[in-house]
Amino acid sequence: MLKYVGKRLLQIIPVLIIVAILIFVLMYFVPGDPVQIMLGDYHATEEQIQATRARLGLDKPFLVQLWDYLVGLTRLDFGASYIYNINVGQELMHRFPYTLRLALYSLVFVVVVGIPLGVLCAVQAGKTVDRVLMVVTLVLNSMPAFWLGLLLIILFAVKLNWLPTSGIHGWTSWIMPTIATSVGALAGVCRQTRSSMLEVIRSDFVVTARSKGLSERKITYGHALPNALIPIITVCGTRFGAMLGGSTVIEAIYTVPGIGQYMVNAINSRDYPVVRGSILYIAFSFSIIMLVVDLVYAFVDPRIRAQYVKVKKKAESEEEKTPEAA
Amino acid sequence: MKSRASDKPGSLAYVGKYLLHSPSAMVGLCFLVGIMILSFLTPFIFKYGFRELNIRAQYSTPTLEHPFGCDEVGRDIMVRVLYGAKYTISIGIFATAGGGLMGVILGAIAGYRGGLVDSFIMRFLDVFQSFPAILLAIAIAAVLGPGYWKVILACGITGIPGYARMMRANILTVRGSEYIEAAKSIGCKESRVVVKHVIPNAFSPMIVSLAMGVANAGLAASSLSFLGFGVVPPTPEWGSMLSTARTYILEHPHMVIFPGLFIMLTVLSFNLVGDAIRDALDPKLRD
Repeated sequence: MLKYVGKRLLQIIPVLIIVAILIFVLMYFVPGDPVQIMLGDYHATEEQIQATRARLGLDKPFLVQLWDYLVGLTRLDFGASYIYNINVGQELMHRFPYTLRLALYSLVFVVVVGIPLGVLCAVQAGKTVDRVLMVVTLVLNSMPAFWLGLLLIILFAVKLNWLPTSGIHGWTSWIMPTIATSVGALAGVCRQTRSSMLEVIRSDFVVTARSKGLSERKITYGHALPNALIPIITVCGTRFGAMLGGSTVIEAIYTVPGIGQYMVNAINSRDYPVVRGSILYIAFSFSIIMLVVDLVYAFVDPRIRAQYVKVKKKAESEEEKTPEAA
Repeated sequence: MKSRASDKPGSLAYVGKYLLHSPSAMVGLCFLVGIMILSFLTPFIFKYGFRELNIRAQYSTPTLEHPFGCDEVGRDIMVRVLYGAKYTISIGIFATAGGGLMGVILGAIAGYRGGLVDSFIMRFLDVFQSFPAILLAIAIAAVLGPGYWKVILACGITGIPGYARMMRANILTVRGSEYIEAAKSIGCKESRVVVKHVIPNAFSPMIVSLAMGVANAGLAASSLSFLGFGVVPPTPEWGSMLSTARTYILEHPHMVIFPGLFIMLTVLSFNLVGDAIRDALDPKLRD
């Protein structure tokens, strides 16, 4: 198991290196000169422009710039922001907790509300509760998160004046961003839970459990749900990853000082080190999340856990064989 | 909903007939076709143009004259919303068609060739899937700059890895099946096997995700426009209308309601159609 985690972690490194190179190359060819944008308002002289260029290292050849950037990355140095001259790495460290908290709160909300609702739908399949919830989730699933975010502002901040419109001041500020980020995922998880529960409920072991005289509650939560979990975890995992990225829009609406907002502002001001750093940071955390999801599978499903062990044994036996063959 | 079609299940004619008999799919289809037609006919139906300013009606809340109200320069929001339908829908369709085509080709090559080509393509796609889809779209849009075709490109590229992966998996399943072996054993040329047998059979499961993909691409496009990286004002794309409306949300909240509502209805319609296609293709899922 540990070996598997190590292998997966090692696999992330080449992917991140290629992402870093790709982002650098792409950003290099973005139309619009950052120096022009920085100095645009001041009628800068040619010397000033050249001096700024030299200060930012933009006068060096492309490959040298790329090399310097990659060497910096090995020291976890993302460079300094063109505009604010602040170390991007430090700023990302400051901002990442906001983005992560938003995604985590949303995930908790999705799991705590979405899965029980899905179970309820499956148990009550075909009845009024189920039908109503299916229509509601279908609609919510199609709702753009940023529109929902704006509607929540109109309702809770403008009309009712219960919650703050923007910025993060205390726990009340998290309510609207969390709801806006999670509602689509919640609907998706609810629907997935329902359909995978329905499949399991029909299986033989549930009939057996019922014929043993177990309570419906025990059957549903003790036998059916654990066996229906794998596809639900897949949906939760991919949605969590999407929320991490999708929070970009939500952060922009509620001015949450997270990575997404940082990046959007940086794109507009051609602040390349910030854009590159943000994308790399999210790519890294996204890869880690996908790894965690895979590990959760093993935690939930003993069959998958057994596979890891089998792979390990097979690899070991192959290692033993190779010297003999040689 | 049972279709009485005598066509072979899984064939296009069968899916078509199934859709005709599915009420939810028909609602979705009617909405999409209806709003597309309205979108092209707005200049002939309404007395206001989509960019006609009317300072007297500035910030007008919904009235009989302007059912959805007016925006910050007095343009009629209903006309703008209906006119703007063509952007979101066509971006969704073009992006999915382009991304789907590229994905299918890449996935088919990777799945059928196998070996080094396969690992090269798949590792390359890994890179694209190492960050959330919307972030990829934002990054591409940031590089390309705003504009209609550029949004299509950004949303299309974002979809490629998913489609390619799915197509590859389908090809692998189909390639190992007995009818392919049979085709080969009666002496079919490899090109015939691929074009006549492998691709059609591997492609039909893709139809569902392509239908759903249109919804996602449309949604992604309007998110991009909302952030200012997509179709920019004064074009009445729904996302960019919302982006403008957001500035006035405290004083004139009515501007926010309708563009978003139409994004939702459009995405919902595509999802309804996609659901019905899935049911038609996979009888197991039917209750």
